[in-house]
Amino acid sequence: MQKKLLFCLLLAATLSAPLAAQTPTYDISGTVTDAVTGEPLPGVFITYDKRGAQSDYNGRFQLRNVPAGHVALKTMYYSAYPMVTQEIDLRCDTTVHFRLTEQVTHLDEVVVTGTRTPKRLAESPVLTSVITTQEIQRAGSTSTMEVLTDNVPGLVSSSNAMGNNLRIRGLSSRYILFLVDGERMVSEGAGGNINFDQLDVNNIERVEMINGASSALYGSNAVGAVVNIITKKPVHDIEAGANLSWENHNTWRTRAEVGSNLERFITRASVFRNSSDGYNNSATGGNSSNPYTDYGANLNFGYRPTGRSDLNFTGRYYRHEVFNLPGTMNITHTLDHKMTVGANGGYRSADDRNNVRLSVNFDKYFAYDVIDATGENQRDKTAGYLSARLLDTFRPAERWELTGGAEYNYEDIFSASLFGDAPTTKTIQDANLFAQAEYDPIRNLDIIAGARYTYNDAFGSSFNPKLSVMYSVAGFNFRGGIGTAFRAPSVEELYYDFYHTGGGGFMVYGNPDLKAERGLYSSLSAEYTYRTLNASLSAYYNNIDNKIDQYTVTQNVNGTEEVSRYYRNISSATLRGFDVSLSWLFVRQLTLRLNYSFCDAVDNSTGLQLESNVRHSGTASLTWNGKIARSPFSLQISGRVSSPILYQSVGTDSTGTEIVTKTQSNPYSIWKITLVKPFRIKKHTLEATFKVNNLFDFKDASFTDPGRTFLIGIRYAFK
Amino acid sequence: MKKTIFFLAALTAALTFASCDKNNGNNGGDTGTEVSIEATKTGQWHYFSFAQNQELGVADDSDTSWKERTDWDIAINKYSIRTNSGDSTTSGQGGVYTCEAGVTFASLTAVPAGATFEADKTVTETGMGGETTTTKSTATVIQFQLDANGDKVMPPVYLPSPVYIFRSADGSKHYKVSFTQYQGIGADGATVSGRVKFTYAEL
Repeated sequence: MQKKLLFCLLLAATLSAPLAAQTPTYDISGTVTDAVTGEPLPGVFITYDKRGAQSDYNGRFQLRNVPAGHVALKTMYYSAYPMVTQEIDLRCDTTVHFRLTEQVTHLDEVVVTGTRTPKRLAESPVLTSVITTQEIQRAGSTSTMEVLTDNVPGLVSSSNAMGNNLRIRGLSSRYILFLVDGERMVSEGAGGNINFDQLDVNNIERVEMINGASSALYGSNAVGAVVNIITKKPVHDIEAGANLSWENHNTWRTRAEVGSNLERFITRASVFRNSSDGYNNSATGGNSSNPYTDYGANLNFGYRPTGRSDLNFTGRYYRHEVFNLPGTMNITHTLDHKMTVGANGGYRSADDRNNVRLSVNFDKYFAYDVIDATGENQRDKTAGYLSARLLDTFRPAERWELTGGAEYNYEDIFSASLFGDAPTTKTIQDANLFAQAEYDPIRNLDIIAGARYTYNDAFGSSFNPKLSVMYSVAGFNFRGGIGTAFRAPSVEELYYDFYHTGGGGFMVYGNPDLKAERGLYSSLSAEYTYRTLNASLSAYYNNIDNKIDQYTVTQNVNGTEEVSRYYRNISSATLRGFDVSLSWLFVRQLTLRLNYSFCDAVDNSTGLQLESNVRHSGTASLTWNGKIARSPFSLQISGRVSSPILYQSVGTDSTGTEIVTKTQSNPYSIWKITLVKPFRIKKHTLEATFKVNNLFDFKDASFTDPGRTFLIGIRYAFK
Repeated sequence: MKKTIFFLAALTAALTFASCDKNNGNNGGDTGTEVSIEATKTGQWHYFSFAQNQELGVADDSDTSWKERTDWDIAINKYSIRTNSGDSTTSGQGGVYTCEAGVTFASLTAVPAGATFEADKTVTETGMGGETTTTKSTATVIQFQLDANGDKVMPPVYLPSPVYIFRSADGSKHYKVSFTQYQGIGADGATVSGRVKFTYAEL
């Protein structure tokens, strides 16, 4: 929705007559503003052919000596403002005013997760949800975990000292594939937990989410969903920024970053420090959270020798120290280090038909116990994940796109106690070949078929095909898909051999003969877009077989009862449900986003709901992008609502009778309100954020949260 | 003469003050006697006598010979405690009284009036390892922090126990006890639980 106004000044026409032998040139000047707020947009590229200029802090731009004739002016700005093309027949000095509309629907946003190749969201045959950095900022999200809980309905997170225990639709973190820029993160705990605080929320450009099986493209764990966190890349010649925020319980978050995009060289470096005193509500029957201090650093370096090739290097470091709450008698506390190193390079052929990409990524996690009195460390566990991949995309003809690749993964886990009496390292490797073909037989119809062959040295081979179809007509996108997925047994499930001291004491034994779990996923969805409204409805059916479960064996040894736990592929689960999603800029300045999810997740051997499943869940946000005295601000009220979290299980009592236990939490309703007020002076932006978290002070035994808290933050950016 | 009197007076004073200030733990001065018990193996009870200030022996959970004996006052197994009373004995008169929060080891000088001493009971607990049945008192070396659901916070967070008063096996003496340590560092550098330290004094 952009309007352009053209004015032509005829004065220069007569002066240019003597130079008629050469092509006359003229100047094009004008302004770029936000169509909704009227605010000038600085830093927008206005280009024609390969030349261009940037708008200044007043939104003004000027292009000098533009050859007369047909000129196609294009705007280039953050992906939230889609490109606008203005064609003019240049015959005199001309003024052009661009008004760009920020898309709430992200249809022009480029996504990669669905097909491993970049596509406009509107054209992706796999239904993808996108959360942009603007949405993250307007919600005042202070952690990556908060971004996920705000936007993924049905997500239940219970943090304990073993990390973030995440469950989506009753499936644990092991059934969700979390990627950073397309690369896996090593799992840090027994349940496949990942501590998302290692990712600086301010480094997130967008989060792409795909519901359901994607093992054809990504391999193991892509059973329930794939969540791909894409990090920011610098856009301007030089950019810098710093953040500082304070929240209750002495929670401080600080960060600084610097970046530069100089055509051939792109660099970005950032550091952050987060700390908190924690809180202890156990005296009043509530939950508590330990004090912590985190440090993190990120480095990105990119080199583009030609317009067709690129080489990138990434490094990340994270240090997480969790202290004991005051008054406890524990003598040690935990210290984690996390390190990621990656390199990737690509080459695009001259005719733009072939695109090759090679990447290597190494992710390593170290866990230590630190003795409070002496500061000495004891290495408890390390986990490492190495991934190497070659990917090629080939477009033989306009309607075809073929993708093929090979991938090698290596995982190792060292533990002082989990794999036997002596400290031991256990490893798993797998080699993969995958291929995908996309074909558009007729206009508006898009078919993608893909398959992956995996050979895993622990359980053998797995073949996973996938088929997706998309048909677009009159503002509608209809998508259907069916595919299989697998989850390889984890190193822990295969090789456990330790004595678990809690709960009465029992041995846990892994099972090296475990087979992979298999899932069959099918879905059907409809998406409708009309002007500033985007709505989608998606229904799915996911059946998981060979599910790995623990079982208990009690033996009488010399008069004492010895309890042991083993693993086996025994059960199956069926998940059925539908998701509804709505984004709507319904009144100038007001944006509404709604998500609702229904899920029935059943353990087929017992007929009970999977642990921590939530039947009905939803997220909502209403954002007012307004102006006070011509100065913009954004005010957002957002929340998430869900029906009770279900805990259902079957056990046997001392007489051998089966007892079914069904408990549930209270229904959840958690809201927050955020006010963001930017001040812009030339190239400097100063932004203040005020936020009230857990506005109505929601409390529940299953919810680890300090209650209502207040946050004040300040952000500085230089572009 | 004056010198001698002065010297004797000074010596007497020195001796008096010295004996009042003498607090090298082993003679039961005002700060109590410190005891270390290595009760790190699950299922093994370490039997202790306050009067003798000595660990008398170690026995399995199933060893019932200690029920007949009256020379031990308390037994420790990891964080569980037994007194020579109730189901743990055939004739013992022991028991434990739990002091209120806010009462410290130093501030407690006498057994509170009307204090009732609890005897040991046989309890059956259901945990992740199934059911376990054992005999023990209500006193523990440490308290586990519980979450809002009433479950133990994992990994375990150990909170200090209140000051306890244990009655001796013959029922005649009372000892105030404060548990000061539960964890220690093992030979391989890993933490061990059950390296118990406590301070006791007769009331």
